[in-house]
Amino acid sequence: MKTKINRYDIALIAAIVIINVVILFSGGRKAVHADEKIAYVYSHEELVGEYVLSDDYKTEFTVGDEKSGYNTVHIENGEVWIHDATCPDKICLSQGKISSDGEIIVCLPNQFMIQIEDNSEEENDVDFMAQ
Amino acid sequence: MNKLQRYIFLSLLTAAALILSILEGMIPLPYIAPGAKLGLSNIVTMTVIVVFGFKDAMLVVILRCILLMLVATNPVTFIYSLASGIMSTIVMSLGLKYCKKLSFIGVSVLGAMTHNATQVTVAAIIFGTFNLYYYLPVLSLVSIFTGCFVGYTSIFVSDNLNRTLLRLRREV
Repeated sequence: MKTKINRYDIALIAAIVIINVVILFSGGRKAVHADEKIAYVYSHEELVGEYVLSDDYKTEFTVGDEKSGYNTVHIENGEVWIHDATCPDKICLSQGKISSDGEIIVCLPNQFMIQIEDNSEEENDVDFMAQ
Repeated sequence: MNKLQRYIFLSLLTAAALILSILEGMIPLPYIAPGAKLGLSNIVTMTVIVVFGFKDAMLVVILRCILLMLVATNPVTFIYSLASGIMSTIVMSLGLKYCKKLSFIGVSVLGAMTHNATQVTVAAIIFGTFNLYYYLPVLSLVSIFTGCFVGYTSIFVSDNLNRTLLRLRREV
């Protein structure tokens, strides 16, 4: 009977450990961000900033300049909204606060866009399903 | 051993696997990753593969999944447990047949890993997102510990069962 742990078992276990640790440290960078909510800020179709939205993170910044038009973005309590903008229609201001996955704020005159990606909700679903 | 005795033993083992599955949900575990659990019913699967063979093990696993759905969980969980149970049974019996140098512990580590990988795959298909594969390395590392535990336990269980069956044969 093969009833005692032998060196082949230990070799197998060591191989599994090494492979998984390598995968974890090489490809795992995105997994660290998997449970975070990130706001991607685009200006003129280029990504200009990524902001991790946590409950205690608060910031305000301006994209663009006086001449070509700017948008002032405010982030607080995991919510994002436009505080001030030069665009004539102010539609971006009236879009209000966004906080959940897939929501966007767009300002067409300044070619400005904020998009939120949230992976944590998805995980919660899986957690519930896999019980 | 006649047919009746064989079926009595298989149904007893199915009942044991069912009880282990239900008890497993009651044991509080530190949260590591979604889907990480002990896999205690693998002890029975392993034992049946060793003592009775592949076909009976498949029968026990399928019966256990159906009964578990009726007793404790829902049809969605049934898909997960059935797929991963069947896959890990196949891998464990292949491992016992062809990797002669591995002991029960190595084989059950392989089975536990297959169990997790299948569960993640089914979840990825159901949710339509392959981001879930980020959990696979973590789950595989966890399954090494649970696999060792399950393998070590099934050594004792199958040894005992074999002795019982031998005594039964002598009496008959």
